[in-house]
Amino acid sequence: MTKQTNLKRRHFLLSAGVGGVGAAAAVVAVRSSGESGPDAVAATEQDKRGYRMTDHVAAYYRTARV
Amino acid sequence: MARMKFICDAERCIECNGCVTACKNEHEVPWGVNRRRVVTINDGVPGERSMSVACMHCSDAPCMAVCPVDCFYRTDEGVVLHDKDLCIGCGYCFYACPFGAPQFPQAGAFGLRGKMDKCTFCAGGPEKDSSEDEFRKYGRNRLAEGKLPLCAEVCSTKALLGGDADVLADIYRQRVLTRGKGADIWGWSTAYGKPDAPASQPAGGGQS
Repeated sequence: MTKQTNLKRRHFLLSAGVGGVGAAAAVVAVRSSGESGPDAVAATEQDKRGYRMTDHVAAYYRTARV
Repeated sequence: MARMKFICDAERCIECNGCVTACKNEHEVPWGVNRRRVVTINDGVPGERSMSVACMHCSDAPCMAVCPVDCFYRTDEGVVLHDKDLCIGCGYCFYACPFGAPQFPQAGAFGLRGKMDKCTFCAGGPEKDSSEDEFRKYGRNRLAEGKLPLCAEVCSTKALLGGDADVLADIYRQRVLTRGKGADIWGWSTAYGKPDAPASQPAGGGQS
């Protein structure tokens, strides 16, 4: 009877340990995905289109030279 | 990488305020806010000069230095922009800016000013390009559309130039070389006679 109780306790500790490792892994995963935040921002910034030489801009420069 | 700059050719500016009007219309700038304005020196006196002034997108911008919430940022092209979601409307940038570029939409009790607004070089803000949010907060993003600031594009005398600093420097240098300086300005002798000799008076009043 005592042995069975001990076994149950060990199962509980084992499951708690596995669960703890799982939770830690989940936290690491979340953090690593959080670290990819700047990458996401960088990707967004890359999507932003800034100045570039277009026909419109070239025409403006041409008229400004007059 | 091109560096965006404005330059106003004071010899050409005729104080028409077209740039001011175009800016307000393009970006639907609210009442009380002028992102651009025309300043006239020695108004009414011979030799007066006018200049269109807005945010000069400084290389070492004092507004960026004093902002307590660090809401300013500079794009790869050197355009100084700010995030209105971060701005607390403290007004430090207004006091720091030597051009008076930062503007505030409200003047209420307890120093209530609202979010700062300023020229964006028609480059919008941190929101998605040409999105509704971006337009509402910062106005149109013409750079993303492959265009230049509207104020510079509409200038009838091309006094206000905006765009790549290298190109603008070339244009301005060419103008100075062409027109000379002071009384050597191109067309001066045609209009006023030669500066070192008094203009000859036409005999008989020039009427036949």
